[in-house]
Amino acid sequence: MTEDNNMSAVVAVHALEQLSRFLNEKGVLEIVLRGEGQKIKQIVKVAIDKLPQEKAVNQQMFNKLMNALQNANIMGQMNLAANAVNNAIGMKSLKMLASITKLNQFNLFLSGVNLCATVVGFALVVDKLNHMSAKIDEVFKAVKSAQMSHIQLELDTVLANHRNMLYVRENNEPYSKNDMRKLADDETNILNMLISVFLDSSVIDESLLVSIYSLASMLAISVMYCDEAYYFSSKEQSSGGNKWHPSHAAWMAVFDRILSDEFVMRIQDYGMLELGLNTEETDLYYKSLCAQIVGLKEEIENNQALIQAFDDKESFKKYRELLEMDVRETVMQIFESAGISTDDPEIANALNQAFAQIAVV
Amino acid sequence: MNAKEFVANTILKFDDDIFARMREFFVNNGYISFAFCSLDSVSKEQFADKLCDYFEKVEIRNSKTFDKLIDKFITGLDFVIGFRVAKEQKPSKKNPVHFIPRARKYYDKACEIKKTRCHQSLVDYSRIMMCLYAEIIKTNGKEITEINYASECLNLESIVESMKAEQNRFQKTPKFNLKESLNEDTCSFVLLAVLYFYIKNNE
Repeated sequence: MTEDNNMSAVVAVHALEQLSRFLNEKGVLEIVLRGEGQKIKQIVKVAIDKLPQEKAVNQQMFNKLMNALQNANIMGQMNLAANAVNNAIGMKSLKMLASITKLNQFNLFLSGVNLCATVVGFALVVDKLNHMSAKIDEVFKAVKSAQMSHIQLELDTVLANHRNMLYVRENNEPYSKNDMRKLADDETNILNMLISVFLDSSVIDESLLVSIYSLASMLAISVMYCDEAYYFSSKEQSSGGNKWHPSHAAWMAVFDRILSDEFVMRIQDYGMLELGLNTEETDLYYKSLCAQIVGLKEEIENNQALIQAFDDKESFKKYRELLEMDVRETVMQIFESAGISTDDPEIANALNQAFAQIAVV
Repeated sequence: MNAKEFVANTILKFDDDIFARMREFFVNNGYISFAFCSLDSVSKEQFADKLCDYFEKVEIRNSKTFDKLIDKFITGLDFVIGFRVAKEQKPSKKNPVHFIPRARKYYDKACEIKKTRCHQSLVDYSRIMMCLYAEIIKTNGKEITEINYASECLNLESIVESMKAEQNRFQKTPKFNLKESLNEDTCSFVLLAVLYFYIKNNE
């Protein structure tokens, strides 16, 4: 900068954020270049990357939000493996995951679990699955099997039925235990077929992997609802015998199949040999995926324990409502104690959307 | 890469329990000794200094840079592992199936990785090769087609014992000369141990 008697005082700038006040309405800094005789030669528009202060605030906000979500144990009964994943891999690893740019579907893995429990969230899952349906179809065509050619149609049917089930439940309408059982059976069958395709294919398609984990999340939800329906129905009818539906073992077996050595080895190979991850990234990748399924199984088992502990349909229902209220209040308190105002419209809107997605109303 | 960078990227980043295990391993196996400090009182920084001094002595003794010592380490691993990894089965008239054993895929990946000389590449190469060698130990030195990639399968004591017993192919003499602490082969074992504990630290 040069001094000029006709100019206002020279502004000394030592840091980028000091330029923020000079940005125009579009957030662009306009610099005038003068030519001979001080005539304006050119106006250069400079876009400044997120100012360090803003980056720091965003990072701070992100850290606070993540800590708050973890501390609130918001991944309660209605949120399945995300909690297991977070606990298993921790904050440092989550940031590492975010830096693995190849894993563009990984967000679906982490979020798909809790999203499958609500209509709002599930729509997001289905949207992503639909975009991948063409790719899935290509994979199926590559597997020369008459049975596999029907998988896409059955997958669409299962997605529609799962959405319908969530809608019916959210509107407090009755959904018969037989329909619930059939949904769990259908999801189990599709999932087993997808797993077989995955294991038999010489080339791993990430879309298929995403479908498997999404369906596993859906199945976990269906199994939990089935357990509730069957247990309390059997109790009311004083039928005695098995507390859970006879197909329960078959439903749980599919999760064990995803945790089998054969399946895990394929995941390791995919990470190491095809995605080109380094060894640390590959470890994080396959362990996180395994943790997700382990978390699903644990949530089903925890749900069964809760059902038996309450041993009464209305009490169990009331407990869930109280849990959701408690979760919401706890999250709000933690956010506020972290200095994040939940009155802020943007934050409130984001929180409400998140709560809707995880059935905390 | 120089010795100081290697030590800074490894030892100084270890968790306390891993560092304690590593410290004990090094002292018990005679790779490092402390004349006046008790084992428990040796800090990471002190150990790192000691290790840097060790590498410096090895460099001088053998007139080799640290990079050349890394080369020796890599060559040593490849000697005991490479020939035991089952080869790719290319399709033929008798057998039209094209099959690449899983162990071969990982070995080829390791060979590709070792061309890049940086800390992460060294870690990745060492991890894959240790996992392959662990599988070789399981098969009592026979050819392998599989690999257990999980780091939990690695056991340093069994890897070291098995490598000590390795022999030159045609001379029936020990492959690794460990009689002197400052020779290249002993240095390779030191590098192996540090990288092993680095892998364990990141489990």
